[in-house]
Amino acid sequence: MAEALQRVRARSRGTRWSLTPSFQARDAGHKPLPCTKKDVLGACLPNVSPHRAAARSLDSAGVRVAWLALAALPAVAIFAGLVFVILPAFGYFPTLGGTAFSLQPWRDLLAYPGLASAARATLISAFVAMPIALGLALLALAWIAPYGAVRGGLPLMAAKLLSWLLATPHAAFALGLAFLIAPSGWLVRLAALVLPIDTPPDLPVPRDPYGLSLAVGLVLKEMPFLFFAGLTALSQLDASRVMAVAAGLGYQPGSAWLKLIAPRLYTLIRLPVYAALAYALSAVDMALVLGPAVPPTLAVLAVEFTHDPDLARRFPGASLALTHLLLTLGALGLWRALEMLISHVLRGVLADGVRALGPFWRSAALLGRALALAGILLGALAILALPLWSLAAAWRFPDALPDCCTLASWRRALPDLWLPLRNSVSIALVVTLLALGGAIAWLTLERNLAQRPRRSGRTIAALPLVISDVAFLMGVQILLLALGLGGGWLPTALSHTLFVFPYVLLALADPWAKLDPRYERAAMCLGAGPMRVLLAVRLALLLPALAFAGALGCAVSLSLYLPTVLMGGGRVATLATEAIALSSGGDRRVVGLYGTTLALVIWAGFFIAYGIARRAARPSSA
Amino acid sequence: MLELRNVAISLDGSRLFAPVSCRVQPGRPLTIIGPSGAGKSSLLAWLTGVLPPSLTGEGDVLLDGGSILALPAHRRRLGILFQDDLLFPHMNVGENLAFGLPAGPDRAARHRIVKEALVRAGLAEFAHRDPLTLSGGERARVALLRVLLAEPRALLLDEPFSKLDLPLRDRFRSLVFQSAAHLPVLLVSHDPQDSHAAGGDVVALHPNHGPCTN
Amino acid sequence: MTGTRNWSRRSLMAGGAAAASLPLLARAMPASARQLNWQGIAANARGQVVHFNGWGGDQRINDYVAWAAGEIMARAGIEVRHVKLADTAEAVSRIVAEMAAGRKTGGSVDLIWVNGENFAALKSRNLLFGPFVHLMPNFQKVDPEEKPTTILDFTIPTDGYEAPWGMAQLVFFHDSARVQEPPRSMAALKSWAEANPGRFAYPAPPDFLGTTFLKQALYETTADPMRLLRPAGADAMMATAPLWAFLDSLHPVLWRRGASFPKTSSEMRQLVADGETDIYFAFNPGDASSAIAQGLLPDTMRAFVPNAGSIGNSHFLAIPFNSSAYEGAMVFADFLLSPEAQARKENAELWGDPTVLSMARLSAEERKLFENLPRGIATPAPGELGKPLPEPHASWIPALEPEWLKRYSG
Repeated sequence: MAEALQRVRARSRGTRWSLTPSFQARDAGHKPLPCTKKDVLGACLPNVSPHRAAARSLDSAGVRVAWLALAALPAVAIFAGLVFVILPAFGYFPTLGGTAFSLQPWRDLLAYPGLASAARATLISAFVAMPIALGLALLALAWIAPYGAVRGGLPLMAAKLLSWLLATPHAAFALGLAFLIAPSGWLVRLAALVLPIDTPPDLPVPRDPYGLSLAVGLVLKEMPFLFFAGLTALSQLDASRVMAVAAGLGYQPGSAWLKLIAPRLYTLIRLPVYAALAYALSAVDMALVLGPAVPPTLAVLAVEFTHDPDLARRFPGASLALTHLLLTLGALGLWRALEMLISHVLRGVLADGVRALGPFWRSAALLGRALALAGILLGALAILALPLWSLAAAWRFPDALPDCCTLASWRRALPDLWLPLRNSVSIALVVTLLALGGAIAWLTLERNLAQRPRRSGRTIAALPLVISDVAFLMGVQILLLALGLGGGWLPTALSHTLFVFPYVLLALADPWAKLDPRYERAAMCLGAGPMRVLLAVRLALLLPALAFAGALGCAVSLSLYLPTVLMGGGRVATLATEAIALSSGGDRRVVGLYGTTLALVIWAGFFIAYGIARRAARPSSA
Repeated sequence: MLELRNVAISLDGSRLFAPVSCRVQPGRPLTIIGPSGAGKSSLLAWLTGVLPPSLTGEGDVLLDGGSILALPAHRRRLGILFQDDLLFPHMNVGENLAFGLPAGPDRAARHRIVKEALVRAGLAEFAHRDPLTLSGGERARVALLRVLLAEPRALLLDEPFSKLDLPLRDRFRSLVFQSAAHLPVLLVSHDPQDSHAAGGDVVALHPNHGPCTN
Repeated sequence: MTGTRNWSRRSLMAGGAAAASLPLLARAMPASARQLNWQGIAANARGQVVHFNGWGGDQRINDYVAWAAGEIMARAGIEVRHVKLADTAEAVSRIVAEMAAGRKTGGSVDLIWVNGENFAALKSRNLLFGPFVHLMPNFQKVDPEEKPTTILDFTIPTDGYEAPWGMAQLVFFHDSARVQEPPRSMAALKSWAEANPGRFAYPAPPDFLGTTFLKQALYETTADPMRLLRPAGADAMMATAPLWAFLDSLHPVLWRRGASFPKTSSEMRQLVADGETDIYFAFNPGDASSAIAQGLLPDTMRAFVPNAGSIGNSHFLAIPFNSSAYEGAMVFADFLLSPEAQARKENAELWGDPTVLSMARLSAEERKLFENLPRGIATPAPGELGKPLPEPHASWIPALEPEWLKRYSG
């Protein structure tokens, strides 16, 4: 993902980059080693692979134990969280006065008015948003980068906008979008320039009872995520040669892409798709802004239960969290079943020999492309609304633009901004460093493992992304309560690490695997020890990838809302939590200001990473 | 017949090789040789219509007397084989072949055609195999079958033999030239053996001179 | 201002009602605080960090708190961190949880902005520090006889466990450019809404003001309003029946036909600012004036008060039993009660929240601070406000909120 982002950014720079962008980025600009080094190595380490050599010099058993410990950490946290949500869900939790198992929490939960509507809105928003987001992401890919390299012109601009959308935190994006689509929002105000509108129409957006506004937000936010996941995956598919073969066989590009690239691409981005689906079901920040108000979505409802002064309500709250977990697992299962059904149906179509898309598919593709483009523009407008509001003196309906421009809001908010900014940045930096270190250790240790444990290890690491975070975080919160510990900076940072680590690991894994192993062999033959080989050769060569993985990690941490709220114990205000807290406050100028600041901090991370990548690539790109 | 007239590929306005002209007759494969980076693969990419936008081609290409440059890639009907077989991993062998087969008439008929083709190629029981379980030689043969089932008007070969080991290489090479004897065949290679085995003409790409030794 | 999550409050209310009538068992002050005089408290307070937990949904109030934090840092060396809550119940829940987990000191909340059910919840469970109010020098400038709600919070005596901070009375605001004759009763509101469908909204309970709207409507529709001052009983269904009939007929002509509601009171004001609705209400008579001053509302906004009178109360500052900086919290609360801070709060261009101080107990110099304060174009004159209606007994809330949720949610 980070790599793909890097490629889009790089693609837009001077001619040298745009020539062979995929090569430049993928190999970070190193040339293949001359053959002679291979010969030297043959003499140096007969019959010994570098992996085994590295393992031999570290201690093999120790390596295994260390890797297991690393892999076990997230699993233990999730397990503990789930245990401490299951116990109170069935009435047992002595600290809160529950000394015997019972089904009372479930009865209380079912008696809650509006539970069914909450579940309905949750499922509708997720299952409307996900297929559309996935479809638009694939259509955008087919248009913008059919072979894995971003095409110039309009597609390049679209890709750049998508990278901005991806880098914009959920909370800030939702706030911008809410202003955009409201009946008195920017879109209607722009329409009022040409239409005689002096009263906002009475439309049920955002916050419609069915969660459709939330679905729109999820589509616009997940589409870039899936797009960049797909762009990364495309580089593994040798797409341009596959398409050349298909053209040679007489296949029109659209049909060839659908039959040959899309199915394989999907299997490669399955994890991001599942993560997006799980997020859609458990999003609290976006649902607070765009989702229905009374009742809210299940995830929001669960959080509201934990805020009840009556601690007895934590029991049905735990039942609700458990329900949410089961719902998430059920939704993932349903999605998997749909996958199998569709693949079964499409199987016959793949080899039917039809070379060209029928008119239906062609117009669907055109419509989809138009929709994707409209979505991208809508997203861009939503982002743009935030800084504009932060500079507004006043911006009343139906004015298309604010009474510009004043720094008064900034001056007013600056003293208040400092503390959340400090919390956000300190947590993001510490967590990202921790995650980078963990990922490097993980990938180093993983090298002498068989395929099987390797894969299960990665699955465990990715668990926090696909499981209901509402459920296990609430469990961890109850556990902290039982231990007499409050929330705070440290629990918040640790919980962030759970979510940041898998992203950093996945972002780093690909470039890590692609690095030509002969560099390390050559260094070893020159007498460098394992640590020096790691630092001076591998990490040095992977510096651009490290920088982007780091920027991605920071972005994830800075955007996290729910873990901060649940683990912060009310003492850790971050830019994301402040933006959401203020969003109910009616002063859009301040909301815009917090959203802008949050987005700026994240974008700054990516720009720094891009700068590092460019510097690192320069000496060898000549 | 496939004909190239003053064909060259340029990068940033400078030609990768001097313009080439040549004719390829069915049954008389033509080999284009040149060092790495001479532009061989780019030339084939241009012929098939999938040249990256950073490169530009010039000259004219005629197939059976008509220029094909105005046609989109999928209408040119130039089959191509790469050094990697590029069998589609999400389809089994039979589906890969059916993918090459023109559409229609019905599922059973397509099945039969694929099956007959497999029998002819000595791969009778392979229809349901996963391409990944095949040996290198078997995969190469399936890839060739797939191209031929699509009924191309000419066949382009991008070093398709270089990854096979020596005995296999010779057998597969003769199989290709035999089964494509009715087509113009254009081969690019840096292996002199290939041109020798092809038996036809040889064109060398060179930055300074590119005479067509036709 | 402060709202509690709802349908669950039944048990708490029962506790609250019991506590009001029983001898108080709240946590006694630590010996150190009891023995200390104010100077000693102020000395201990220096250098402390006070986590002030308060609803953070209004930027004008946040700005005010930021100003006060700056002042108290300069004057008394206390660092105040404003923990902005979306709902005060969050902090109450945390305090309750800390108690359950046995965390007797070093709690996460040092000072909390609170009233009503949340205060009742804390007080009935002995989760408050105090009584401390009598120690504060500025409390001498409050006259409970003149303003009874400074020691009576939703019918529950404060007993020195919370210091008054501001006065509140329900006031309605309308855009005079769109509404010629504002509806001064619930019946008039309904007729107006029928003539102007989609132009009025009230926040969904358990938002504080949403619940207050229900109480105000209950006052105006129920047969015997005085009955509301005593605990709700078996007749609650009968007393509230006219309210539900009223709401059933009002909802179809509400904003979005009553299918959706603003989630908070600020969101309700935002709707007026955006021209989606024409009327909103607030507990702060200066709300519209200060919003106009800050460019949030058009200057055509004007205030009106229901003919039958409107609900009034006060809001307070309390210190949890396990506050890790109770001296600092007391000193900060005392500063917020000072004439200087109170006058600034009453300034309609900044916040517009009426003072709890008694002018009669201020020196001439202090009184001057309150004279010529900008009152704002949309603030009712003191005479227009009328006598506030007392809050119904807290036990009526469980008769309102769950039923509302059952009827109108989802």
